[in-house]
Amino acid sequence: MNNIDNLLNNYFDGTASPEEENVLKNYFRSDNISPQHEMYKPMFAGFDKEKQIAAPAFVIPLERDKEKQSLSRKLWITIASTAAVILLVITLFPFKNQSEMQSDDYTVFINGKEITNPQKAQQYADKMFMQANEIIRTSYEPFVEVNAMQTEMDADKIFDNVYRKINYTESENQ
Amino acid sequence: MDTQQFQLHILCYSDKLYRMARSILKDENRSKDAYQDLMMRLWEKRKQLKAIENPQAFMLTSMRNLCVDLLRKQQLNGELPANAEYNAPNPHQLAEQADTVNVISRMIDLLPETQRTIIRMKDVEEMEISEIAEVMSMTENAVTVNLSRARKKLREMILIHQQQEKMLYEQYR
Amino acid sequence: MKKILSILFLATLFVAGASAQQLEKLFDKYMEDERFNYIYQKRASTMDRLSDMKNFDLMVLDKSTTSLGRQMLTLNSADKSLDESFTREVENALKADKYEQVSIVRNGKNRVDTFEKPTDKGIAKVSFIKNPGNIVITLNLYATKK
Repeated sequence: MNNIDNLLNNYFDGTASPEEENVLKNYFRSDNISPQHEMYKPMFAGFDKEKQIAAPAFVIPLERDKEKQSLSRKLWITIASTAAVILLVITLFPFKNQSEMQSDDYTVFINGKEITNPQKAQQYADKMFMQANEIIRTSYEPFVEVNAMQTEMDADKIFDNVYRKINYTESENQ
Repeated sequence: MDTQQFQLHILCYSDKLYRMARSILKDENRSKDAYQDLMMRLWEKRKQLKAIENPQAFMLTSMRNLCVDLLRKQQLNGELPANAEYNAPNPHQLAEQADTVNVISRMIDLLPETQRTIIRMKDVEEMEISEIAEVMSMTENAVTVNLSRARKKLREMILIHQQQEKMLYEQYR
Repeated sequence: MKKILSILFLATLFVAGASAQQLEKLFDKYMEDERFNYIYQKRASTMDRLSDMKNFDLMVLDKSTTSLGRQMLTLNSADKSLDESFTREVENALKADKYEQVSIVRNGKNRVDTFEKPTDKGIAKVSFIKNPGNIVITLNLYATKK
């Protein structure tokens, strides 16, 4: 194809426009490549492959320069909030015996096969929900920490704030 | 700039920044370190980042400078071997590695730093010449010349590779 | 057993007056698919691990809500096209069911999206976790007492 040959010439001279380069890229991603152009296919494929390389995760560090607001105060709030949550749990719900758990409370399929043993099903389910909760919880940590410091030491307020942060709203421009 | 804004406006460039580090340093561990190093600095300076007009160019330039410095230090310390000539591995090796290794990437890595950084910015990241020129601190003309050289050299390596493959295949029959 | 459960689950939703629940249909579609893992817990309770603070479902600590159960569908796959088509199905279902996005947290290729919407009985919360090769969608149903 004359057109492709022209475009390839421009490409190797570095003078192809972005639109022309797009035409070439789409051509080499298609199934209709002429035999004389076959040799360039791996080159364009190689570029596409490189584009898939992703960066490792960057964990945003916790605020350290707020130490002026006193580390002890931050610690106190963390302890108070943890204590408040534990207290709430203990007073609201008496401890429930695990053997009371009914066997048909859980349904688990792993790769299409049902796990019929109730204890195993429960173990797997508990583990998976815990992992998911943990992922969600840790992904919010920066928000929780930053806002905890601005709250007064009121157990209910602290609890409400943590609860509200789980529902934190943010918008993203795509 | 707070945490969310950082995540929205800065972290979206992570992949490009990491790929640049990898292109220049070639070593995966060193590039990961350089990437984390830069992200940490960007985080620490996040309040000033708000004022920057073209954040992508700024960050890529910073990453490049960081990596080029590292590269220079490594070369001074004699840590890096000289670029060997490209030898095609035998077809059996290639067949084994075909899925995990990008042969084209290996070839690009053999180009001198300026050329491989430019060709990746153009062909992988699809940046415009003007922006590439800003990151490289070069004129657009110089970028075009280097781009052309890099692409032609790559074509040459592909040809040699294919010829060697053909020869080796004939041998192994 | 499994069929009965899924029918029962769908039945409760019809009783509650819910219209076509695309997201629930998605759970049903893949629950027995060998590429996926599926969990359904009838009543999520806070008593699962008292000693382990991490397993808190904070919604349940709120005295005004009770859990109506939760489901989780996990896809562990090296197949990128399957990842993508599944993600798209989830997104379409969320849109069709009119879930509202509550938050997005991204970190490189990892991503956690949460959604919610009011239901006849209370509220439904969805979390959609996407890591390369691992996608988890969780649906939590709550009843709010007034």
